[in-house]
Amino acid sequence: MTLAAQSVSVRIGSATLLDDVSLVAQPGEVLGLLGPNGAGKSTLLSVLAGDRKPDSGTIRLHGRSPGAWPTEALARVRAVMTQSASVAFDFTVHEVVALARMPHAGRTRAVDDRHIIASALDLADVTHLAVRLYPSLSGGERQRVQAARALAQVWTATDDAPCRFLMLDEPTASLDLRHQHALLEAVRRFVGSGVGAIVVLHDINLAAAYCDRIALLDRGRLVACGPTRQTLAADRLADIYGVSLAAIDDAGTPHFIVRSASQPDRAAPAALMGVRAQASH
Amino acid sequence: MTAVALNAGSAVRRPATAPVLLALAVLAVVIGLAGLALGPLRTGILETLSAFAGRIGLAVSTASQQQEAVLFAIRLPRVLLSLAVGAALAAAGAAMQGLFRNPLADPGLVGVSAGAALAAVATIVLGDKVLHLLSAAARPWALPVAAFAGGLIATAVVRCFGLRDGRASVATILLAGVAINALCSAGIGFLTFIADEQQLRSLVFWTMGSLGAATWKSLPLALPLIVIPTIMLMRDTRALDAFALGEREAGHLGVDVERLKRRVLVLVALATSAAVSICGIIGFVGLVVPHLLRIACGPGHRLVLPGAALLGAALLTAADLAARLIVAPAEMPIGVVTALVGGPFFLWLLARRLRLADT
Repeated sequence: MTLAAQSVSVRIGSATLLDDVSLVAQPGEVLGLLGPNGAGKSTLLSVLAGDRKPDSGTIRLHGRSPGAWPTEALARVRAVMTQSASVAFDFTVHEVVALARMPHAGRTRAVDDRHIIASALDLADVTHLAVRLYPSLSGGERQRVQAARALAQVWTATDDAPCRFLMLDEPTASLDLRHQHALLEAVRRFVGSGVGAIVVLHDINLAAAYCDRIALLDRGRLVACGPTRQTLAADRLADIYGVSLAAIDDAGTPHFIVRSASQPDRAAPAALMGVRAQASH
Repeated sequence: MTAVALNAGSAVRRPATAPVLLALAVLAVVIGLAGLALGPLRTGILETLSAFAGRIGLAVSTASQQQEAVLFAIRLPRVLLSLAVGAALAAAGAAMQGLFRNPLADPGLVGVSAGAALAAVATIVLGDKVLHLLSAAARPWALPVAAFAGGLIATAVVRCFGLRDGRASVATILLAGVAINALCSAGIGFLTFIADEQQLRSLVFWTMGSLGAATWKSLPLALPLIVIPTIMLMRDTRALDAFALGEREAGHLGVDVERLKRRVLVLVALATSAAVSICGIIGFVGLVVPHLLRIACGPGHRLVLPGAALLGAALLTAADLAARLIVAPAEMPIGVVTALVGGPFFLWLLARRLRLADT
């Protein structure tokens, strides 16, 4: 019933992108992948999705490695939203989202597919764009369409596996404030139907508000993994990101604010610190 | 990119697939009949139809014996070949554009046409030294067989360069295609340089394309080689739609990406090599026809692939008809006709792309 990474390492040449990472994603929860640029979040997501084989370690989706799944059956139990938002040729938004039902061809009725596509468009708030040409959309609109496509792909349970997984790589990167929250709210509601969501995020406060568990990555290593409240500790985040942080309690949810952009012991070179010390006098 | 993109905010309506394909099929049949009826020796549509009815014993033919001879011995194989070649080149172009996610892709991109041309020119120029070893019956086959093999070999070389860890990199295939194209044209240039007058004349005509080689002798071998891979391409329409999202994204949708790339390249190489080996180089059909369909009906491959095949069949047959009629009783090389129409159209597309990129 799970998607598990066991001691996964990925190397390209001499660079280690992932170093001995183990974690488990479960249906019914939103797992956030957080970490600075180059921490290995997208690499971990692509390994979990079955795009690339880890150089060592294993991925198990319902007990089988993704490579051992027939590609179509795999597509029915896990959907991926990558950071790529480009579509070649002038497909309409509806046509793009309808592609999500491709792996279900011959298994679901056309009327059900139409209903799922309409519901996914609605959930991602892009129904009004359905008959527009995808290349004419703004970056944020495209991202919402891609999210709708991922949702539509794993909308209903199939007989391939007891649950499905939704993998989103920075789904809120180009979204405005309202749509950032609306999309993650939609994902939260979606995991209620037996789906596990794995979401790469950069905004710690969005992660704190919407994730059940957090996996913190830094330079290819898993620094911490656990329930959101325990994992998102201000000192730990300060250490990883190299900024000084403070946490404010917002009705039970931690809210992080940045005190200063560089922490003495990590990012800033000594010379720069000297200049700053002088300036403050 | 299409006309509707100009007003970005407007709703897009797509025509239904079946009626469009039916209309295109009717168009191909009508132009095919015109190709049979028209020529230096006119045969009316009714006489043409009655001649066919007479052949299968449905009615008494009203066509004269001379008309029947021209119709069945010369025009029918030629029209059949032009329908098949037009369908193959246009469908191959549409499939390549889908695979490369680029509306300007063309079967020639992976070296098929250049490889076939080099082999054909080599046969014309150097063949005399080898051909006398063949029996008289086999000699006419030397050129098409060599061209067919040349097209396949060039594609295989390009694909080998594009392979890494069992995965084909589309970008590398493209670059390797550019290199192979350059290499082949260098070879053709050298062979042209050492060719004598007679060889020069025949190689120039070959590179400009002609459907004159259509005979009942050559068709039984050529037609299946052209038509079967073209029909097999129609199976990949949904996968090519998914490819528009990107290779990785298509994989996420359950498309076996490596298998699709292999299949499409092999089928395109087979159909194009077979077409080029018997007709020479006919440009622009593979580029222009899929574009027309995308502009009119949208980019969905379920319509674009079979639609391109039907429209390509109709347009190449019309072009061949024009090539035969313009300077009758002589005939223009068909490659000249297609390039003459296709070239300006292509420029217009480029200009539109630039204009749209600005807005």
